[in-house]
Amino acid sequence: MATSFARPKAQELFESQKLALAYFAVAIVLFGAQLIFGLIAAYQYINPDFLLDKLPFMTNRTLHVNAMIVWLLVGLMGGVYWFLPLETGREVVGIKLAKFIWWVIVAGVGVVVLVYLFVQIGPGNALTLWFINEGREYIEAPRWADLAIVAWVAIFLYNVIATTLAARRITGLLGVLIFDLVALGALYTAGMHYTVNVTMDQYLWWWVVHLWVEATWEVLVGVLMGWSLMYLLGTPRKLIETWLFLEVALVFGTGILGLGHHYFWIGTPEYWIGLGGFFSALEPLPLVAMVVHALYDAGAHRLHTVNRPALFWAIAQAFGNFIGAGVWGFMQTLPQINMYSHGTQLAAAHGHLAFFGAYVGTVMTLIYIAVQNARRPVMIPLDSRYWGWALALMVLGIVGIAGSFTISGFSQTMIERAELGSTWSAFIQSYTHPWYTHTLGWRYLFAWIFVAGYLVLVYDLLTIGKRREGHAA
Amino acid sequence: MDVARVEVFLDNQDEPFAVLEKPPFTIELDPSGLAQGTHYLIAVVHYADGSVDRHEYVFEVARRGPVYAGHIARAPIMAPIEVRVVDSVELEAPARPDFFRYALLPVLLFLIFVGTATWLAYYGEHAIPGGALAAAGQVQAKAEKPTPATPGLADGKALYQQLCASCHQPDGRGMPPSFPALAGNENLKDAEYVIKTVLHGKPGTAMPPFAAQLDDQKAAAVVSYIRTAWGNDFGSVTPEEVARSR
Ligand code: HEC
Ligand code: HEM
Ligand code: HEM
Ligand SMILES: [Fe+2]
Repeated sequence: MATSFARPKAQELFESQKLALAYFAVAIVLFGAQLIFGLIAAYQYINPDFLLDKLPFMTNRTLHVNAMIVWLLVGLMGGVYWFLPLETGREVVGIKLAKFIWWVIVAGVGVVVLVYLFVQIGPGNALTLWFINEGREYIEAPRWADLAIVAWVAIFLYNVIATTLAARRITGLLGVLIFDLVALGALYTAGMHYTVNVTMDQYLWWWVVHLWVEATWEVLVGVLMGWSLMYLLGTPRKLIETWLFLEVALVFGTGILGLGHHYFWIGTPEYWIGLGGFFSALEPLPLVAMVVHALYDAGAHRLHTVNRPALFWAIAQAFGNFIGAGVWGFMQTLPQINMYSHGTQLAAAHGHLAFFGAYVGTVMTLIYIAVQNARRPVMIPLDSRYWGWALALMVLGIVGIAGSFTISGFSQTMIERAELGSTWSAFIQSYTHPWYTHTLGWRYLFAWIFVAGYLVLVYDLLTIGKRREGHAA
Repeated sequence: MDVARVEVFLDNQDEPFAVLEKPPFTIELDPSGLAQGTHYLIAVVHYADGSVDRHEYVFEVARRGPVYAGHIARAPIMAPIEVRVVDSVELEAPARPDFFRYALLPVLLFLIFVGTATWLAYYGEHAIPGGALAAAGQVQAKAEKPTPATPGLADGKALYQQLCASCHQPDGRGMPPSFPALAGNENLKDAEYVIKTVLHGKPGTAMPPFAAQLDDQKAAAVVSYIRTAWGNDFGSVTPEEVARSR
C-alpha cells in the first residue's frame, strides 16, 4: 500500500533544515559515544580494575553524562532549526553564521573529548580550569569551550529572534520559544563560575542542571512537540497553543521553586526544605497534562498519521517523561524521603528514565520527522521497517537499567541510611547486599539490549528510503 | 493573513487537483472515486508576501466498518465531505511581531539573568579573602602537609579505633568476606607478616599501606594491640622490628 509521493516541486528544503540534518547526524554519533562510556561505567562496577589507570570511573562517567547533555541539546536545537522556517514561512536569518559556529562547535567538542580522554586531569590551577576541565559532573567543559558554547547559543538566539521579527506573523509557539531560549541560554552561564565555597558553587550550578531539565528544556520540548503533533496529526494550532500555555504555566510555576529539592542538604538556608518540597512535589502536574494532550490528539485521530515511527516516539515521550521525571522524581523529592535517598542510585534510576523519556523521546520524534522529508520524493508513509524494534529494544533496555538502579538504590536507602544509620559499616553492608551486588550484572545485560536497539536505530535511519525501489508500488 | 492561493495535491499526483484563491478555502472530498485505504492530501498555502506553508493530511476511505479519517474528520470517509485546508488561526488577522516585545525584552532578560548569576558568583568568590584560586592553592598546600603527630605516647588502641576500625570493626570481628576478622585470626601469629601488611598494605585489595602515616613507634603500638586484644595472645612487637620491615 506504500504510496510514493512527489513533493510539489517548488518545495525544497530550507538551508536551515539542511543544517538541522547535520545537527541530527552529530547527535546520533554522540549518542553512540555516550553508550560506549555507559557500557564501560557499568562494567567498571562489576570489575573495578577495568581501565583503572587509563580511563577511571569518574572521568568515564563525566564523558557518559556530558556526551548525553550535548547530543540531546544538539538534537533539540536541530528541531528548532528544522521547524523554524516552516513556522515563519521563510529562511532563517543569519544562516551563514549559524553554519559557521556549528562547525566550530563540532570541532570544539572533538577537542574537548580528546582532552578528557588523554589528559584527564591538571594540577588544579587556572590553566586547568581554562583548558582541561572544571571538575564538574554535568555541563562539564573547560572554560574556553564554555565561551564557545555561549557564542553558539547567542547566535542561535539571534537566528530565532531575527527570523521571528522578519516573519509575516507572530504565533504563540514562537513567543514561548523566544522567551524560553533566552532563559535556557542565560542559565548556562550560571554553571561557568568557579567558587571555592562548595555551597555557593552548587547553588549556581543547579540553576543550570535543574532549571534546564525541569523548566527550560521541558518548555522547549513542549514547543517542539507542539510542532510535531501539528505535523503528525494535523492538530489545530488553537488546541496546541492552548495546551502549551497551560503546560508552560505549570512547568514554570512548579519547576522554578522546585529547584529547592537540590537545596535540602547543601548548606543553603533551611526554608528551602519547605519551598523545595512543596513546589517540586507539584512538578509532575504539567507532565500529566502533556500525556493527556498527546493521547487526546493521537486518540482523536485513531493513530492515523503521516509518520508512525515519529508518532509512536511522541507517545513514548509523553509516557516516559511522566514516569521517568514525574513518578521517579516524585518518589525522592519529599524532604522526608530525600533525607534517606539523597545521592543513592535512586537518583541514577530517575536520571536514566527521565532523560530517556523526556529528551531522547523528543529527539527521536524530530529525527524521524526530518528523515521523512530529507529525501526526494517525500515518503508518505515513512518507509521504516525496523523502527519498532529499535523503540522496543531501547525502552526495554532503559527500563532494565533504571530498574536495577532502583533496586540497588533502594538497598542503599534502606540498609545504609534508614536501618543502619549511615555508618561506614552500614555503607559496606548495603554494598555487599545481594540486592546491590546482583543488580550490577542485570544492568550490564540490559545495557547490551539498549545498545542493540541503538544499532537497529542507526541501521534503520541509514536505510530509510534506500529500500523503496525494491518494494514501493 | 493574506493567503494568495492554496494548491491541494492528492496522493502522488504532480498536478494540484484544486487551486483555491479565496476564503473559506474548502474543498469537497468525494470518496467515490478513491480506492479503499489510506490517502494523503497536501495543502500548499502561498501567502501574499511570497512565503509558503505546507500541510500534510492523511485520511482513510472506507466503504464499511469502523475506520477513521485521520486528520480530516473523526469519521471514516464514506460520503463526500467538505475539508477546510487552511487552519482557522492562519486566517485570523496577523500581528507582525513587535520589536520591543520580541527582541528588546528578551535581550534585556538575558542580561539580567547573566548579571545576577555573575554577581552571585563574584559574591561567593569574595566570601573567601584572596580570591578563589588563591584559596584553592591554600587548601592544596594544607592537604599536602603531613598531619602533625599526636603528642604523647603511641596508644595502640586509639590508633586502631581511628585507622582500622572502620574496616576491621571496633571489636576486631571485621566484616567477612570483604574485611577479615583480626580477632582470633591465626595469620596474626606471624609478626613479620602483620608488620609488613600494616606498613605496605595488600596491593589489589582494600587494605591500605600505613607506612607513611605511622612511624615505628605507632606501627609497633597498633600491631601489638591487634595481636593482644579481643582474646588474641600473639605477643607484642618492638619499634625495631618495625624498622627492619620498612
Ligand atoms: C579500607 C579498609 C581497611 C582498613 C582501613 C584497614 N584494613 Fe586491614 N585489611 C583490609 C582488607 C580488605 C584485608 C584483607 C586483604 C586480603 O584480601 O588479603 C585486610 C587485611 C589485614 C590484615 C591481614 C589479615 C590476614 O588474615 O591476612 C591485617 C593484619 C590488617 N588488615 C591489619 C590492619 C590494621 C592494623 C589496620 C589499621 C592500621 C588496617 N588493617 C586497616 C581492609 C582494611
Ligand atoms: C525531564 C525531567 C527531569 C530530568 C531529566 C531529571 C534528571 C535528574 C538527574 C540526572 C538527577 C541526578 C542529579 C545528580 O547528579 O545529583 C536528578 C535528581 C533529582 N530529581 Fe530529577 N529530573 C527531572 C525531573 C524531575 C522531577 C519532575 C522531579 C520531582 C517531582 C525530580 C526530582 C529529583 C530529585 C528530588 C532529585 C535529587 C535526588 C537526590 O537527592 O539524590 N526530577 N534529576
Ligand atoms: C548502554 C547503556 C547505558 C549504561 C550501561 C549506562 C550506565 C551508567 C552508569 C554506570 C552510570 C553511573 C552511575 C553512578 O554514578 O553510579 C550512569 C550515569 C548516568 N547515565 Fe547512563 N547508562 C546507559 C545509557 C544511558 C542513557 C541512554 C541515558 C539517558 C539518555 C543515560 C543517562 C545517565 C545519567 C543522567 C547519568 C547520571 C546519573 C546521576 O547523576 O545519578 N545513560 N550511566
Ligand atoms: Fe531537580
